[in-house]
Amino acid sequence: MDGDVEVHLVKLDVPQITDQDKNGAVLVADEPTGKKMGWMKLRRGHQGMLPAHCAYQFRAAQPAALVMQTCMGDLSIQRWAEICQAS
Amino acid sequence: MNTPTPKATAIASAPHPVFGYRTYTLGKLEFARDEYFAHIRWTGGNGKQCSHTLDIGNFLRALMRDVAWGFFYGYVNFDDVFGTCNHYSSVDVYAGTYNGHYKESGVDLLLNLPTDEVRVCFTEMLEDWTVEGFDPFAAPQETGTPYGRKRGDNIKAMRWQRQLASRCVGLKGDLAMRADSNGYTVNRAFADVPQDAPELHPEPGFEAMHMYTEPKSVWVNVDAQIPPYHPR
Repeated sequence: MDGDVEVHLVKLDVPQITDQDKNGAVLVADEPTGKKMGWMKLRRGHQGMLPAHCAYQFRAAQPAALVMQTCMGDLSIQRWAEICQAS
Repeated sequence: MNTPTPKATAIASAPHPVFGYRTYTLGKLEFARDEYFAHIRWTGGNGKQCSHTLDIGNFLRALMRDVAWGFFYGYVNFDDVFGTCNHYSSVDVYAGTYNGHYKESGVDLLLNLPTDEVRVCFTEMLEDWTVEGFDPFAAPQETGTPYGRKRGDNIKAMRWQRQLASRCVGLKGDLAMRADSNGYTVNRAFADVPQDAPELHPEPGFEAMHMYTEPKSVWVNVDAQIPPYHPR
């Protein structure tokens, strides 16, 4: 991580994903509706784990970087071949 | 009445009169060490007497990983000739099997042995061949030399038990976070990383969010231990 990142969490009233076998992050269709769970402020040396079936949002007042580990899903973009393999 | 399965025992020689180390036999393989090298001997498929020599430090480092992880890794290549492959009840122990020159010459050997038999032999060999002051799990700059004649042992490092979190380090009822007081000092690789905890702002009703039982519902310091935990 670099810089400060806030992670805000919302417990969705109605889970957007109904298929329990579906993996990976999905984009919340509209403004998330549900109870606010709170937020955590992360910086270098920190790790945040994201609750399942909740909405989360990253906010940073200044440019910041974080690495996110997730399963491949709707939002995944695979560019390994394009970046690292010339032919 | 069931007959109990005989416990595997290592086949070892008396200590070498000069070097002080025992020689071990595992199936058709023989393992010997001197001051600087491990020597593996076997009879090749063509009937020739074969041997392969490895630096003892490199040999012990690979051996430690086999023993400590119970052959968990699929393949452990000690080098480009010798290694093991786990089949989760048996272990392949091979010499030259995956080396083109050895295969071509017909001097390769592949043994498939019960895991217990290999584990007992490797464990005893590791404990006998590791001298005082050398820890084969440690980085070279963090430990002593593996070389020389038999002098003491390092059983404490050999039998060191790794701690495995049931869910996540730092959770209630689970392993504690690293701290000098519990013997898990901060790894030197993290010396320049702040060790403070993240700032949490839970809403009412979610005060214990870091202890949720739902998967992926916690946050922890990145210095949380991941196996193998290695107190230094």
